Amino acid sequence: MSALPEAAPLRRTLPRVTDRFALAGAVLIALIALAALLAPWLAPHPPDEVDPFAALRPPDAAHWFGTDAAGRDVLTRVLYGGRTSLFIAVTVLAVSATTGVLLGVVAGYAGGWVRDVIMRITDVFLAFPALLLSVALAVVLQPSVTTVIVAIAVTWWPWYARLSASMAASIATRPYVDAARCLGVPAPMIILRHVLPNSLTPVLVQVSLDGGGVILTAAALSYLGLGAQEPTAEWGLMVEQGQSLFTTNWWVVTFPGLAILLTAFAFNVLGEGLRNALDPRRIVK
Amino acid sequence: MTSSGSLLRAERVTLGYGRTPVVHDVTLDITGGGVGLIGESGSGKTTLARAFLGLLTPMSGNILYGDQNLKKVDMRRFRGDVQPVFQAEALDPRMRVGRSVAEALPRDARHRVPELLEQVGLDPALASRRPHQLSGGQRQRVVIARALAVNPKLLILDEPTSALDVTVQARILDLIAGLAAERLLITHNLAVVGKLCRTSHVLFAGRVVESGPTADLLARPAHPYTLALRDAVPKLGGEPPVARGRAEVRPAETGCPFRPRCPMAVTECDRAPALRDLGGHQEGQDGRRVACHRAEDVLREPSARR
Amino acid sequence: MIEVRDLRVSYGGRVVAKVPELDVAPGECVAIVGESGSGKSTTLLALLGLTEGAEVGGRIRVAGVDVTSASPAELRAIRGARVALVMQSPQAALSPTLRLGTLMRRALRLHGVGDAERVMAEAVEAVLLDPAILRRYPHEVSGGQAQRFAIALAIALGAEAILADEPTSALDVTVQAEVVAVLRTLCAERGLALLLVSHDLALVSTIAHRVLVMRAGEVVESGPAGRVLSEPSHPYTRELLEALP
Repeated sequence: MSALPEAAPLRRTLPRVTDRFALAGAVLIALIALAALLAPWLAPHPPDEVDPFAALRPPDAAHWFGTDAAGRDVLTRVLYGGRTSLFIAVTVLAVSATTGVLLGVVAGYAGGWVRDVIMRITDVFLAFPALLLSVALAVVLQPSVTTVIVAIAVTWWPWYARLSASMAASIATRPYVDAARCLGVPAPMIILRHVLPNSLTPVLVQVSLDGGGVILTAAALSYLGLGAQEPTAEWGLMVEQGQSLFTTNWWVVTFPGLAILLTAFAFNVLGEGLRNALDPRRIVK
Repeated sequence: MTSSGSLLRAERVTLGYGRTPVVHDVTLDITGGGVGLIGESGSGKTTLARAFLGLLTPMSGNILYGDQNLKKVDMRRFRGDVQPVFQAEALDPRMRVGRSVAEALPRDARHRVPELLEQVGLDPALASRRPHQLSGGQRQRVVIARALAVNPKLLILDEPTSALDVTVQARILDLIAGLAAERLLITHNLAVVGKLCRTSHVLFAGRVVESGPTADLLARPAHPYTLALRDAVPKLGGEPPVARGRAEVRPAETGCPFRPRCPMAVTECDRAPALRDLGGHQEGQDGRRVACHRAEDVLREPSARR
Repeated sequence: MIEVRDLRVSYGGRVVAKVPELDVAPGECVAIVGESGSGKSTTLLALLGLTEGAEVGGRIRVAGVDVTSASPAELRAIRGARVALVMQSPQAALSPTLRLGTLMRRALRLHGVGDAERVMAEAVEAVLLDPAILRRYPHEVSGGQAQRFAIALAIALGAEAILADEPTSALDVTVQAEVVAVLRTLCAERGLALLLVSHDLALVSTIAHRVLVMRAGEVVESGPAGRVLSEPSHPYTRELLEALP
């Protein structure tokens, strides 16, 4: 009894802080995306401009982030690399979330054998460690950006399927879904109109939390030589190429590494913020 | 309607989720003049409602619509004839209430939304609001408007007023009483049944333990559970209730399910009592049925008479 | 036990509850009746200084403490120990990972109550609970049992007053009858002061000595329960009475 009064003021002040958290994440991601999109205008040099005489220059006024072994401007390549990395992240998330959510919502709403079949399939995919499966796929396919997208999306969608299946199963028991069924609204319409919109919130949160994970996985694949290939600018690839130079020319690996870190962090902040901002306990009252 | 005057009939229906039955072997007719289904939480009343609406297939037994088994009925026609009115939470929280009502209408009849809202006493301008922007009473009216959209013959109302303030509840009950459709009213509130239902059935642990004309049932309960229910309802200026601390004792698995709570239980109650006719010889007492070995003794209890 | 004069609770200048006078003596049950938005729950929370972010004016004395001027520490000392709050769904206020017995034992230790086992056994018996309930977790008990446990906790801590906000409106009628009977007995036999907030006039009429009827933040009528409910002088009270099914 004494527990409840103490909790009340806390709940009033916390959300405001977390809303700011979500906002900060969103602003940060927007800035990163803007920088990547405007790379052709922002970048001080063309991305593939090779200058053997300017190789491995430390950061200075002409090359803020220094140059790499081929004499290319690191700042330029970090900006262009952002296009590749964010493109991979957005495509992977869009493909896997759409697939996962559609299958999951159908499974959750239909129940019975439909659910069993769909969920067994997702279980098969979930049985393999995600990175291992991605690596295996990337080895079989030709290394390229598309390969990275396919490889990651294949291991990513089952999580969304599982999450939305459990959400949809709970939404399916709500009175408004029963009421729609009693009106004879066909099942696909019920799923689209009622079940899908009401089970999306946790998926949205998960998608934003996963943005960082996808970028890190894509970087890992490129780092292993299974993803983007020279001369494409991609953060993971840049880290791979720069790592052996770390002790002598630290800037080649450090700036793309920081870009990965910052973007992954921004997605996490957004995800955590959304999770709290959309907390049903807040919406209920 | 069949020759027996039953709109919808449950015939020896056992219902459950998974393999656990929660409604056992219930036979019940929805006849004209309003039918009440009285029960507390866990009595299986909502499960039974879902079966009547064709949302839940019986584990055994049949739901009959007219003379036909519900499994074989044209569901299009059935959906147009039988509609639910759930609690106010039966509206999609993300949908504007006008759209919720429109969902019930064929595409070329969407213009009837304002008219339907007016019919339940709502300002048509509210159509653009979302459920959380309305009061509980307004939401319940929207739920009713939505059910009325298809001109149903029978409404299955599940606790339509239990979440509302008393003055609002009274107005919603008046609205329901004035509707042309027949009704099955599911509630824990005995007073509500008295107003709206000619016949009532009392459900305990998934079984019908007593049924009959509502007025007589409440005036002379023949089952100890009906008696306990009636006497637990606080009456204005009435005697304070007596506490026994037994209301939450689990129903018995075998024999009479009410036995663990029953102040009148005897050894005979180890045998499950069947629902039997209770000889009523005065007007308004016909059709009384009860599942209690000691029904005659319950009727003789001084506290049972009103 | 409880003494209120000229209470005004407002949020940002908008008055949500105005109570000119409210007294609850030991052994007495006073009920505040009203519908949603009437300010009845706000009034109750104001008595314990729990109206976060509201301007509270007037004089409130609860268990000898002046609530409007008391320090947070003083307020904490009366909450729970001397004045208990019973909510509509107490399960939400019980820590889900603690057995009820552990929870009660900790509360007793926190408030320095000795001979915990005997006190607990007595309190549980007073609310007609099976002592076995102390070994259960909150999700394993029903609403009525949780509600009675909340009351038992108050008794064990030696509360002199219980403030109850719709304590039975989420319960079945048969269970409600038992919870109400328990509250009544505690009032009559232990001299507990009970302030009950409810929308149910019929329920209130079976337990309360005095009644305040609130509407839109104002007390429209108050007096002995028998008179207010049999000869209401305000049209709103009459409307409430007529609405009873």
